[in-house]
Amino acid sequence: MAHDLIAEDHVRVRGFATIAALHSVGGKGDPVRTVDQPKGGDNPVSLRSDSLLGLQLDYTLTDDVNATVQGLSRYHGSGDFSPEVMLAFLKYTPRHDLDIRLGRIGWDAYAFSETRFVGYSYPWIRPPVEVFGLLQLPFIEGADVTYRHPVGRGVLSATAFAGRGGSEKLYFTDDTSARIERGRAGGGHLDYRTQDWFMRLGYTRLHMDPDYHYSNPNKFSLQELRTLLQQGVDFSDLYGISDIEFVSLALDWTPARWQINAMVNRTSLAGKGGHIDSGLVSAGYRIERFMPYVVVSYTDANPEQDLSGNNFWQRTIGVGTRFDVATNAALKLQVDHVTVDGAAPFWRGRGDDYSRQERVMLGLGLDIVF
Amino acid sequence: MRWLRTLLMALLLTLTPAIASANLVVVVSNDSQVQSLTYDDVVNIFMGRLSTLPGGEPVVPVDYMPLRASFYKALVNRELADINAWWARLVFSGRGSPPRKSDGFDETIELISHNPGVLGYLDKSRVDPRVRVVYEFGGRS
Repeated sequence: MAHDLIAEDHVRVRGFATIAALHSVGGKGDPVRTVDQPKGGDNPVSLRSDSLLGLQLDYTLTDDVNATVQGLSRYHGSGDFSPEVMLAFLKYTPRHDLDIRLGRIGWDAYAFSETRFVGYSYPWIRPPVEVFGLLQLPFIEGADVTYRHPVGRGVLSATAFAGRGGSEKLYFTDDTSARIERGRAGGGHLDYRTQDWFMRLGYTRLHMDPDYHYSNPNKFSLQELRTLLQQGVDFSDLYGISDIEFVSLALDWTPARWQINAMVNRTSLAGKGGHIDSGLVSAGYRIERFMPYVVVSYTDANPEQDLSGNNFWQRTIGVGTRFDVATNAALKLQVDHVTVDGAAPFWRGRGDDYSRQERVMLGLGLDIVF
Repeated sequence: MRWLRTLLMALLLTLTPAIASANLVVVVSNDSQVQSLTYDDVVNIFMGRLSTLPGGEPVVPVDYMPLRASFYKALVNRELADINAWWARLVFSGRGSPPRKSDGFDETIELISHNPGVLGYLDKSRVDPRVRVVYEFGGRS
């Protein structure tokens, strides 16, 4: 009798959606949100890079087993909005402090990364591309285990995960891309959360066997071509994405009306890839239905061998506001000033021009959950 | 004297959540073994960080919808939009589900009083002998 009173519906269907328009001024090339997008948001106004629709079905099988399936339609590596299954897992909770998930789960490399497509869940119009745009896998097929324990005034949780990615195509420049099949990911993170603070230290190791595609050998200078030839044009060594290590430190401070997020990451690449540093600092302040915010994000590639396509630096300073038009809908307006130097993989249509340039991007979007 | 008026207004705004929360209490069934909870216990349970009471018993939080906005304002000083955004992160990563929703007073108090594992909140003036107050706003510990 008592149990019946608290039983939830066994089946729940939920969803999230973003419709967002992007306009950019100055510079050359069209911005993308993630490195798997083959085309950028072109002018005058593009809905391509940020608009998406997700549907999720949650099914309670028993008191300690749940199933979740989530489909997402967004512009991705196949060059269209074809839907993709992002989550499909069983969650087993043998004890109240332990969760085990088995199946297709989110790749939780960074804080926010599991829900980087759920616009309603964060203040910005999109998660900073300098940090989240570089993530190679939308999901992994494997398992994760999370253990939680109260410590002090908060809760400490430890998560370990392992699995394989799907088939992805990543674009480094207009001419260079790589197809990766079933990359192997493993890692974990320690989280500590109180009412006002959240801290995460994460580590992930990713192994892939990328199949490089290069469409314009004329782009390289003679010197670069000579060097490449001497190396046997070993793109794997040049870009170094066959073995990647991610170390991430995130800190959120959310006292009352403030929402302050900070994150620093180091991505270490194999071969001559060197390492890529990235990070963000964001500050928002809630004024009833408005949350104005400022966000600064950067990425800085430090290859051991400087060749076209693997050396870049980019910084975005964004100012915007979130306006909660309803308890499940947020309208967002964001203006970004982007400075890019080198072959940052967040642009399409730049051709061979990897010189430093500045760009202003205007984004207007509506995020809903239902 | 404009600065004084501004100061008083700011003070009033700061105190608003406390005034709004003065009549809210967190309750369990009278059959529950729980006698009291700390502020951190209530936050951790209603924000989905813990699903057990301090003694280790499973707990199911329930949102009484007419008081939901006031409750979270009192608890963590956040607007409902921020609370919903937080739950969107947990729900769409498949890591958690928000508290069960209850719309009517009778349904809510029935739910709490018949289930020792349910934690809810009510207006203090409507507490009756079927439930026990385990946390009262204003007496934060």
